[in-house]
Amino acid sequence: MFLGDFVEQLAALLHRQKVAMPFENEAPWHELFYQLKQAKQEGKPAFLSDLRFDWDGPYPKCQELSEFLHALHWNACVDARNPHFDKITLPEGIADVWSRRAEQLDPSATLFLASAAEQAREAFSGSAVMTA
Amino acid sequence: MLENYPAVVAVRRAVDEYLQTAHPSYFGATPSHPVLPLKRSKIFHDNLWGTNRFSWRELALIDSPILQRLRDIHQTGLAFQTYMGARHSRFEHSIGVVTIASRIFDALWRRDRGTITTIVRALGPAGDAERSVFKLREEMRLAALLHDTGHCLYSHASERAYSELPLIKAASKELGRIAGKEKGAGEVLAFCFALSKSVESLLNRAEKRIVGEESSEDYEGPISLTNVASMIVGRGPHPFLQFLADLISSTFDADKLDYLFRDASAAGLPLRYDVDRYLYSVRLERSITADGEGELQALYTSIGAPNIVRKDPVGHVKYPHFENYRLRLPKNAINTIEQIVLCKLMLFSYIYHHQKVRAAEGMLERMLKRSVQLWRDRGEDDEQILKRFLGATDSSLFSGLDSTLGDQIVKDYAYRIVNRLLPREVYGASASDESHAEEVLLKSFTTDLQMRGKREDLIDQWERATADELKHLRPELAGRSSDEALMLAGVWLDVPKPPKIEDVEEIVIGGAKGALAVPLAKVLPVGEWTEAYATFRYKVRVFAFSEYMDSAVSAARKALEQATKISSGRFYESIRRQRG
Repeated sequence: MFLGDFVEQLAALLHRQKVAMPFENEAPWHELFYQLKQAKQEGKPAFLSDLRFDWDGPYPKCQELSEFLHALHWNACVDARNPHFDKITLPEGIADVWSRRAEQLDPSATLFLASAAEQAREAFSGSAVMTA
Repeated sequence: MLENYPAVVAVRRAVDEYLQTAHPSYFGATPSHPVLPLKRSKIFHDNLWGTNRFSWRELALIDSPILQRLRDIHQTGLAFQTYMGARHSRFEHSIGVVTIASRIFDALWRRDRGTITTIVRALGPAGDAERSVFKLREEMRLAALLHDTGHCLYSHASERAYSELPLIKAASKELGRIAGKEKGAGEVLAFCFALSKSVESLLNRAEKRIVGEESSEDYEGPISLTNVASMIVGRGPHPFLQFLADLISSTFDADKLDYLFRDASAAGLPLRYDVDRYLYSVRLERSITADGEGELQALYTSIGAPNIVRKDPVGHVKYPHFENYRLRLPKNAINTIEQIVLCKLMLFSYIYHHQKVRAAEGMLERMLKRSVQLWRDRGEDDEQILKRFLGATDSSLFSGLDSTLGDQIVKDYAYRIVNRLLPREVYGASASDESHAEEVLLKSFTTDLQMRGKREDLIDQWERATADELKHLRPELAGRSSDEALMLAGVWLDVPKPPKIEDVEEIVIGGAKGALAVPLAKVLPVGEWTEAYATFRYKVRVFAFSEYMDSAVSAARKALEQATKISSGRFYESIRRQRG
């Protein structure tokens, strides 16, 4: 699994759970993945250990994550015009495709994803947007 | 400094060996250069920025093959085949970056003299603060001068080939620990040039040959090449000196100020920004950088940065961190920021992502990757291959790169590139094609192509499927390997790297007169601009030689169907390049 796969599946899950995902303020995303990198839980995807943080700024920031979040916007997979680029909105069709991919995960990876969604719910609740 | 970076050490060794072998009179066991005594300084005139004065240290490097080889490396790769004026080289760009970086430094010194003096006093024992400032200025200028020395033939076009060498990948990863983000292969090499024994010994020899009266305008005392190298990769040698590294490698750095203006001017594009306003506005700002993983601490310790304090989480700052000083543009410089961002987007649209530029550079990349494979088949290791790249400048293409290879495909590609016999666009898909029913599948595919690792797998699968179909359609390709069949047909899937828009969307600009800093995206509609660029300008393309156009249309379509799961004929008609 690649970082992008994980972000997509997590985004699809959060979309279903009606958790708002920040866009302009990326800090909660980076802090979430920083926590996930430290996690010891079974099912943790290998790519997490290779992520590099502390690129720039007051929070642990990961260049690869930043680039991928913006690639989602670039490719119009997510809409961020709401109207001030505060949050990511996922079209239903895209959410369906990404959810179907998540269905192919093994049970431990599914559990890890669910746990990541729980952490995301908490991490994103403090950001500018509260609900989808 | 490099004891924990073995791959970087290996690359530095390759750089030194290349210099010693290729230029023994400069870097060999008994070097003869510089032969004549060196002037303490000289004045250069640059067509963009006008006059600048260069110190003996800078002149020793400029007059050596390290900088001179950049005269034969076009700044914008093969873009001159489309924009005929774009023949400027990495050499004049490097000189230009020194000039503009110095002007930014001098503007900061005029505006924030007190802060800079406080910084240098915090770094070392009491002494002549002004002299310490000018030492930093000289190190910053040397970083500007050397920042592009890692480029090889046709700049980024060849970088895409040697960046795949496992040694370079490992070194890039190691440097990522220093810089906090992935560094390009060219930056890895420039970092190693700055830390090479060759540069150090050249400067030592040059110092003994300077003549004339010492000038009060130039700093002539000792410098640290470690400081120079760390600025090249965007990390200040001390947290308080981060602004110097920002000057060389950051969102609004001197490199960008030069290349935006230089590339646009050379190509004849009417893109401008207000550099005077930039210089009136630029300033220092106290900030913090998180160091949760401790890499910054390790870096500063390894280079012996004095008096560093890694602070514990406090208040709203939840992570261990370093306090630093950053280069910032305030909100009242908004017009200049807007111009720079738009310039960058327009240059991508007009030049870097132009389909003919992509076609020419894609050919060169494929030719070089094949050459790498052939060298490897002959038993050469990464260090040897790297030395071949270091020895190659643009004119090497005219001699077919390496005549001993004896490979017809490499020869043909060199001939085709030199004579602009380029492949043509077969398909070109962008987000603006989203009116069709397959919108979701297309978006999903193009997003997968932006994922590191997955992108390579997807392209590989697409290429194998296309090659199989081409071999089926064209009997002359039947006995060839997949790679050869694709090369003979000039077919590939071209996925350009988008401009690093996150740099501009994320950037924080300082508020005027002590007001709070704000994200740039709050002030400018950067989101809309980038979305519009992605929708209407950015394309994923399939190329093919004219001789194989018909076969490529059907082979590429079949492979795209497998990759995207889109089967509608209407879709492929909509993305097919129409001619005539």
